[in-house]
Amino acid sequence: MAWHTLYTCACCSHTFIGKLPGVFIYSCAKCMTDNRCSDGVSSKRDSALTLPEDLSPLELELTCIWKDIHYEIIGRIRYKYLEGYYRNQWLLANSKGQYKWLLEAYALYAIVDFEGEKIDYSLLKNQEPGNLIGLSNNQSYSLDAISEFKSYMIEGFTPVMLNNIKGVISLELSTTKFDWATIDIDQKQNALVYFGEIVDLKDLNFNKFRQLNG
Amino acid sequence: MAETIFTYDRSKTQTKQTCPSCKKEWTSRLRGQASYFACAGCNKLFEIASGTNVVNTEFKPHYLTRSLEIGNVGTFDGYEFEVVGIVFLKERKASFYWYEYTLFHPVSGYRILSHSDGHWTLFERTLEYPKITNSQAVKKVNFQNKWYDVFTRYATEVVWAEGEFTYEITEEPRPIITEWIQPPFSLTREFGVNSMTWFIGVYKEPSEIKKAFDILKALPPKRKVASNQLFSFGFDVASFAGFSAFYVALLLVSILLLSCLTRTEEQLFTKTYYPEYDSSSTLYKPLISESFQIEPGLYSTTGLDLELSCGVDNSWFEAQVTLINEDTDEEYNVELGVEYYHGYTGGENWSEGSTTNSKFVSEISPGKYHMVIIPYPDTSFPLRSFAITAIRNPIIWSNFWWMLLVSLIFPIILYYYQQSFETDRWMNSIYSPYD
Repeated sequence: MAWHTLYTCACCSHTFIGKLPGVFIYSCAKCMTDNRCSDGVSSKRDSALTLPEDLSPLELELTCIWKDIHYEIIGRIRYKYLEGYYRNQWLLANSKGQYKWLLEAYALYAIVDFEGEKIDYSLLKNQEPGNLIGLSNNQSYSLDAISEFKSYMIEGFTPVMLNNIKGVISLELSTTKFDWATIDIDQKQNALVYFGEIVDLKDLNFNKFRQLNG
Repeated sequence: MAETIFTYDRSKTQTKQTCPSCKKEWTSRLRGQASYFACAGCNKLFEIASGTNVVNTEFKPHYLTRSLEIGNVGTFDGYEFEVVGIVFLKERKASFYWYEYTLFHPVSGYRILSHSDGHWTLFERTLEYPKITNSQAVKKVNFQNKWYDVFTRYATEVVWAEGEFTYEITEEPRPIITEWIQPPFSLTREFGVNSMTWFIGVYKEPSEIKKAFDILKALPPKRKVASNQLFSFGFDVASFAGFSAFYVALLLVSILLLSCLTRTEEQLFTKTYYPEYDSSSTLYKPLISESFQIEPGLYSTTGLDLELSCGVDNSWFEAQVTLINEDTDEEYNVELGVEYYHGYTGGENWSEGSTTNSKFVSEISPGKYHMVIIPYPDTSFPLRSFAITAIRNPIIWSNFWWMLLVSLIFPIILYYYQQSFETDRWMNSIYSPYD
């Protein structure tokens, strides 16, 4: 069991408790080495790029309350798009081993399901911004943006889903009722939709924010 | 709420950078959020990349004075925003220029402050927007239960820029921008190849900008009328229109109520006369009425309506009436006249004038009165009779109409000024309802 198993960093011998089940990546807080972790064993992994200071008010270990459930931020993936934009995906975990993504892009936030659902690629062919797309939850979403991933950076715990990011297209969709969805399409035209909802940061009742005092 | 637990010392998060081209030092305020920066020293726009930054565009030198500079701090909605980017834009296919200042706060995010011809609008991205699915300029859109009118549709060119940006500001093809207005609000959609973004803007008076940024110098004066500028005399025009309607209604009700409660319309005298011709003087003989009593009114004196009725036909008739107080010999002179003409000209019947007329005599002291009436008829008209009627305390509608007229002067001026204002507003719009 990887869940709550003790690991040792493959580079600096720093010990940490696994907070994700199965195989996952942990970016060591001490030496920044990315560890590939599985069954209590960690091995050094090619490092992603170093995270820049992006003035986010969030950081690892902050806790929040979403729909009466306490979550802790245990990891982050910072995606960079070819168009120049970036998006932070903060990984939230609760004590029952449940997870959510907290998406952050330029002070816009959305709580999104941890697991994606497969979606028929033919639904997404030739779509343009502004088009309405009906998804499996019977909601009609407006396509807001189409972007292509360029690179990513990580910290803390992240699932293993990042091996081949280049060429992956990401669609951002929303409804006027503040429903949110992202659809990631890889080069083999496998598409996964992640459902969520747009939130106000203050609605997440964070215990505190990161203090940007230099 | 966020402000109470979020502390932000911008002086400690900023880093000094050097332009790779001209070596001018500049300050990074957006840090990792920035993807592009434009150097004020060499006017080059760089894509920020790991390793060396890449030149994207080079602008022509810019010499115009700006109202705000990079690093200025302005407070909106309780957040201290910092100016992190400045873009000087031009509308493609038109000679229309304006500045857009990018404002940033780590928690509240980004705002765009637009400055054009002395007018300011603060824009914020909105994820709630009208349900329109095509890129065309729909004439009216409903947003948050308000109807917005389409005002303009255009693409921009970046003439010059300075500071940091999260996106490629010179991206081609340029996004098509459509603006709908509901002053003081403005709803803007940027429709690009890969994205559609909506912004809600609100008009800001220069005084608000001065206060927000704590600016001491004078800001450029307003020129023309901005698309989302509110028509204002320093008060809410809609409320004023409502107040005016209420005032007129109140005036009408007051006059009617006052008349009913304090005055009783009373006919004091009426008589039909058959005048006799005085052959010695070529005039009609004066007529003397019976005496009648005038009781005191609300303020001691009272008003009297004298009405003349005469069946003239393509003719006229006048009567000089002298009202004489039998106790004090006080006199009130009134000239009453009627004329009525009609005929058939150019295939149409016509008529003018009337066979009755009245005049109001105010402030008549109470007492016993009689009238001396001297008739002056049209000599070509065979006068047979005329009637004189005296009515005490008539409802004086002329007072109401005068007060109504006076009270409507300002609203009418306001209405014409507003029409002129709206015409000016829509002058630059291809969707003008005034064309």
